[in-house]
Amino acid sequence: MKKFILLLAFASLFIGCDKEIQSVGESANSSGNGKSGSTASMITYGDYMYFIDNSILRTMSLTDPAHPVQTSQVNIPGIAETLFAFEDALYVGTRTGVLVYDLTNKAQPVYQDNAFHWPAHDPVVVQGNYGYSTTRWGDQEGSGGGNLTVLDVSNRLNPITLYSIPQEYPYGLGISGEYLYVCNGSFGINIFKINQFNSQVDFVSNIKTDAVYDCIPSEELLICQMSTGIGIFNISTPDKPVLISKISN
Amino acid sequence: MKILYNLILLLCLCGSLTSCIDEDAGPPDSVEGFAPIYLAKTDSDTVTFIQPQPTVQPGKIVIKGTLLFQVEQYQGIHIVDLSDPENAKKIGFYKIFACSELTIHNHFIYTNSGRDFIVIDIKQLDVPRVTDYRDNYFTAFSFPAPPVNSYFECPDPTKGIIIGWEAKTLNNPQCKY
Repeated sequence: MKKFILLLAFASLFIGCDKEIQSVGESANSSGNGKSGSTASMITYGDYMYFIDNSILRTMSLTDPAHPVQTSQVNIPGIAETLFAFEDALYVGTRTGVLVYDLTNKAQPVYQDNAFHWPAHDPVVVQGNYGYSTTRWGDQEGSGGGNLTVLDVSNRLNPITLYSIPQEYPYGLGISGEYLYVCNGSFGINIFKINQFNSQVDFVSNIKTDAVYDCIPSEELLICQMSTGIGIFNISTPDKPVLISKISN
Repeated sequence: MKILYNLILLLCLCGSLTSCIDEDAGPPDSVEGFAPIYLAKTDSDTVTFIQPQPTVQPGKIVIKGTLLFQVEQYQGIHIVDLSDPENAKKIGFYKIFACSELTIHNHFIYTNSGRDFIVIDIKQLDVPRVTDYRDNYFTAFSFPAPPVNSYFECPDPTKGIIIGWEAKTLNNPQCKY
């Protein structure tokens, strides 16, 4: 009898697990694209997928998402590392500058060589008429440095660099409404407020965190990749993120 | 004393120049360099759902609805449930050999196993189904390069994929970066 009860307990444990997985699975079944961080080199945009394969930018149609079909393959001048798509423009972060591709035809990105003078590189996010990009230099946080660069992207395919703000050692960045979160490794997150009427961003505060490399805003949450695990911040008060949980490594 | 010091400096300079000349002559008999750390392929082209795993080398993250997926470099993908953000927790792991990239569309994960391209249907999270698998699809996926200006042991693809480099004394190395 004892054994039977034990068996039942075990069985219910398994059923419990199964049910839990199924219910959380609902969110994976919703349509649309996953939200990638600013350091992504493989992204989905509309019904297409873009990724950097060495020095090639490949495009695949996801009309049949189970069996993607390659629609384009173009060589990238430079060593590409990150991708960000916004309003039919694809921004490719390379070690020597951000390159812009026209996505009017999403199946065939077209290189805009007039935008080659964008001097910043690596992660980039865009909102409204402005783009924000980070650059860092040096081998390590102690001796290195970096910049947050603000760009005018009102002409999507021909961004113009406006100005730069020195940063400690910036990695990825996330944008949520009027706030910008710039991850600076062990220096924590620098928060900036975006002025709605001009290109100005104002430094609000620095929050100390475990070494932090990229943050993805998702509604009232800011989900950050840290050296010690994943930090989940509540940003319902956007200039005062509160760490509400952490999934330790 | 000063003459002696200058002489030593001159000798050192000569020494450094000599090493340059040696380099042109061919690889040295014995030199400090780097050897690949391999991850051998154990399973064949499978994606399996297993219990949550510790995070050792965290990689890129993608959020889909209330789920978060994070690459575990070269090992697979962590699955995290964010539906109760204050109690966010890992709920499982997709074991994928040599995985390093990730993106999501609807209920499909697009990822890689080394140079192979994989599409996984995760409609039922704990029963991942591979719908597309393309061998050697990628020309090169960002595996770490050896330290610059170093001799290294030439990679042997039959040993698996390279996940890092370790210092080693090399005899007559044929590869240099």
